[in-house]
Amino acid sequence: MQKILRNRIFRDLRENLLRYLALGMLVMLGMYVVVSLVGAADTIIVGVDKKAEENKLEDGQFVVFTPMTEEETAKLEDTGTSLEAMFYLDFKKEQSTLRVFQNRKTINLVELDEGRLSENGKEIVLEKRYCEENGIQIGDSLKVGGIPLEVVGIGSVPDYDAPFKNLADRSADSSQFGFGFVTEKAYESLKNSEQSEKSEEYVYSYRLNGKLTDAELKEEIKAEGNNLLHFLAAKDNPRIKASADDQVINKMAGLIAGVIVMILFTYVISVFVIHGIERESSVIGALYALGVKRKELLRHYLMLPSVITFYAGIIGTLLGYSRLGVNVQMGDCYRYFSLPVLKTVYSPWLFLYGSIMPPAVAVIVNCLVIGKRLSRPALALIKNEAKNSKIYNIDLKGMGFTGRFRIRQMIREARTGIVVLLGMFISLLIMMLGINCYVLCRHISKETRQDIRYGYMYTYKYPEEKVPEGGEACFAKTLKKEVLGYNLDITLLGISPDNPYFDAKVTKGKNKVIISSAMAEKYQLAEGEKLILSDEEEQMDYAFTIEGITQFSAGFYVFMNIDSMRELFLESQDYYNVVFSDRKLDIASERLYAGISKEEINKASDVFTDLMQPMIYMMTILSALIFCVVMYLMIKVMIERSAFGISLMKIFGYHTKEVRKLYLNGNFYIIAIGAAICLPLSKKVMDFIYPVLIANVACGMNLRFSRQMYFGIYGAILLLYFVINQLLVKKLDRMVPADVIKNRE
Amino acid sequence: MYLEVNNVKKSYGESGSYIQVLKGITTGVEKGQMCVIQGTSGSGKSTLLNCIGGLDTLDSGSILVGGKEIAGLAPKALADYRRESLGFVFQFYNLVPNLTVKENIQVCEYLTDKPLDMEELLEVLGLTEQQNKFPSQLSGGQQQRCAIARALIKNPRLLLCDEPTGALDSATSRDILVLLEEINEKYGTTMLIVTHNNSIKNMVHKVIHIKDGEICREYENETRVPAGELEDL
Repeated sequence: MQKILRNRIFRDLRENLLRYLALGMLVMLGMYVVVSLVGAADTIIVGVDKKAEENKLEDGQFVVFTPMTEEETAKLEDTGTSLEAMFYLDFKKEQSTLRVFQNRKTINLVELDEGRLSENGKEIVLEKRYCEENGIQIGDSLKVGGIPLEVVGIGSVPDYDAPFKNLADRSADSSQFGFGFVTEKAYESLKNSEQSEKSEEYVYSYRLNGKLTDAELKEEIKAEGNNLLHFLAAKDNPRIKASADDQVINKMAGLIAGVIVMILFTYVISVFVIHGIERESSVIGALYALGVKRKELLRHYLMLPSVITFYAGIIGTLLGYSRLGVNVQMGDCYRYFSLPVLKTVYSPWLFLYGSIMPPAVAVIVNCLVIGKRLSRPALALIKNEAKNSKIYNIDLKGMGFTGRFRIRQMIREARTGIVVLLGMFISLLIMMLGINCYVLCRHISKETRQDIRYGYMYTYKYPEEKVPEGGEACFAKTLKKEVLGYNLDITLLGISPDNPYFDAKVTKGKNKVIISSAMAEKYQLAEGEKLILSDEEEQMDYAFTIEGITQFSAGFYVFMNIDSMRELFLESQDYYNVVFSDRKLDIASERLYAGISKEEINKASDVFTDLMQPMIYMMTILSALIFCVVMYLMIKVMIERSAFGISLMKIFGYHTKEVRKLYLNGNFYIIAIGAAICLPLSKKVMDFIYPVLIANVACGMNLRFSRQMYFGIYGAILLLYFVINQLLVKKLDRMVPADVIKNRE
Repeated sequence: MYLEVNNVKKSYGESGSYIQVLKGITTGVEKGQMCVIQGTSGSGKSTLLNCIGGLDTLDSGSILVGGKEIAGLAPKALADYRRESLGFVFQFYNLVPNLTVKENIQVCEYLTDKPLDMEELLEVLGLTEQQNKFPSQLSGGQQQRCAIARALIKNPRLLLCDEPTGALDSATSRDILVLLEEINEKYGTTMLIVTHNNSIKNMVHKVIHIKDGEICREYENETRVPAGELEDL
């Protein structure tokens, strides 16, 4: 029997090809987005781990004041730990900084995309993102520290997955910073050129080989003397595996979004099927009377949704894994992080998710919805008895005829109305994700420009006794605070109350602080609350009371009185390690860790906007598509269901305008009221979810957008409704009453 | 007796809207007989047919079909009973709109291991030429023929017809009745026909008159008139 009924499935498909095609396309699009997003995430997470293993990623690194002696190195290596010096020099190259290392031998090896390693004093291997941003190719020649070097290879290293110039940087900008690898001989020549931006950094990377823990190694180094400047385990290094961390949330969000979108689509399909069942109620009853069983009909009605979602899911999955999918999604990652070429990881479970989940959800949703309808007695089906729900008996005596009619019509179409609202809510949720990305990037960019009043910021390694003229001395200490599972850097900044660059009105007191607005937003902190910051190196926690919040979006800053801070950290009364100024100061480079200009910070704050633009577009288009399709299909169903009533009204002498008023204008109220509720609700829900999605990004959380934006979206929803309504009303005008009545008989 | 109906009572509604539709019906039909149930609108004839067909439940009483009690059967057992023993013909055909004539019949062909010969049935019902047409391309009479063919393909022992000519004109009604008569003769199918048409009683073996839920008259028709000769249809 299923074989015969299958014929009608094909005919139903042919008759409503456009409808099923639209739905299939959306399921396909949904699966494409999910599979490409999750596939890209898997490829990056697995690939980065694999490459880290292959290229001997460090377990950590430490910085010392002076290079360790051979004896000291040997002593550390005796513990079973492998060590390699990763000393580097920074050179100014027009607008950018190029960091030069020696070729690596045992740790953090270079993975070449093309070319070969440098073999003589006139060659260099460059980091790939820097080459992309600056249009450098193999064979090009560039002058570093006055020495001409030929680019012989382009690649990446695992310890600079996120190519931050400084560990405290909030974003990477490869147009301004890159690095390269030269032979020992070339490195010596560069060092001797004395043209580096600042003095050589003495960084050592280590691999523990399972012999010691990070803490034990740190103790060993400290035991060697008072030489240790900074110790950083790989897990705390924001440059390492940053791309993979970034993808974990994408993966979760993708999977959950896939299920939500699938439930919506299958619910839409189930509305069609229910509409069909109601239309064929007497036929179904007759078939029951002839001995056909519910199970057999249920299987028949499930066939089309399952087949459409199955094939759409498969096509979506294949597209997701094609060059147009995973590769496109990884594009954003490749444009930001410095990653080797990764082979697409094909996960069997993702194939199953893409191909089995859509029909499985379709079967479950439809079984629940259709099963109930098919369970009605054969006689009730033959007579097409309307279910006598209490809500139909609602007392509307006080209302006029039109109002009463409209409300009854809305109640009758409540299911389709709910689907429209559900579709609207889900598409608005997706749109809010895109808009939140956009407003966050805009706020960061705009507010950073407004909030940074200094022209230059210099971080000292060895501060001078006297503060350079024109400079404002401050005391900075990097502490940590956990948020949503990520331990982010917080800068505790000691400032004088009359400093010209920050508005924070700091008062004396070792526990009194004022926090930056970015930090308050990210950590959901308010005035009067306690704030605990951790010094992981010293294994100390510091508790402060938040005295106020100051507008400063360019980082997580905790401001306190500089004298109180010196007292707290047992430093001398004139100690400082950071200088702000409005002009460039003449400071010897070897005294500095880093010097950064306002211009550089502004540029870095624009990186996210550029990076997220494709995703913002994708989200907006996807949400508009979902909304249009769901609304079109559902309003069409509403009209089809009312076709008989509309024809009767026309026969009675009602004009099209009056018919519209009775049957369709009620939809306008559903959309208008629904949008007024769904819009703020979806924003609220997304504002709740969004911080989790970007938990690892060290930036503020200003997600507010203007009233005009709300009105704009609201207007766009109504406009879309009017366009769709207009298209469908034309169909209503073409409806010939006699035909509808005849078909009914 | 192939069909035995004993003291069947059936009511609908509660308190104010309570109505007793069948008030203790007792009757029977022999195997291979054609029987007409007549009565005015609301007399309870369709309800009795639905109860016999297992589409409606009884308040009390019993219905035996081929010696098997069907009152009180579980829904699954009722479906099996309809599948194995019954054919149904409705006033408004109830054909699947997007299946052809042949496919509509095939839907029920698959419900039995021993269906009648499809080609022969199409021939008998005069549907050979129409077999690949859709219901919307057929006249009312042709649609009803198709519905009859669908009911008969399973070779049911009992054929229940609810106003089979109710939606047809006089000439077409006659054709359908001739057809039912031929089928009865050819396949020996027991038939129960509910109708308010007064002429149909003349062609059947037995006539039952129902009024207000009770049998007011019941008799064997000794002077059957062939369906082709019926008047005032």
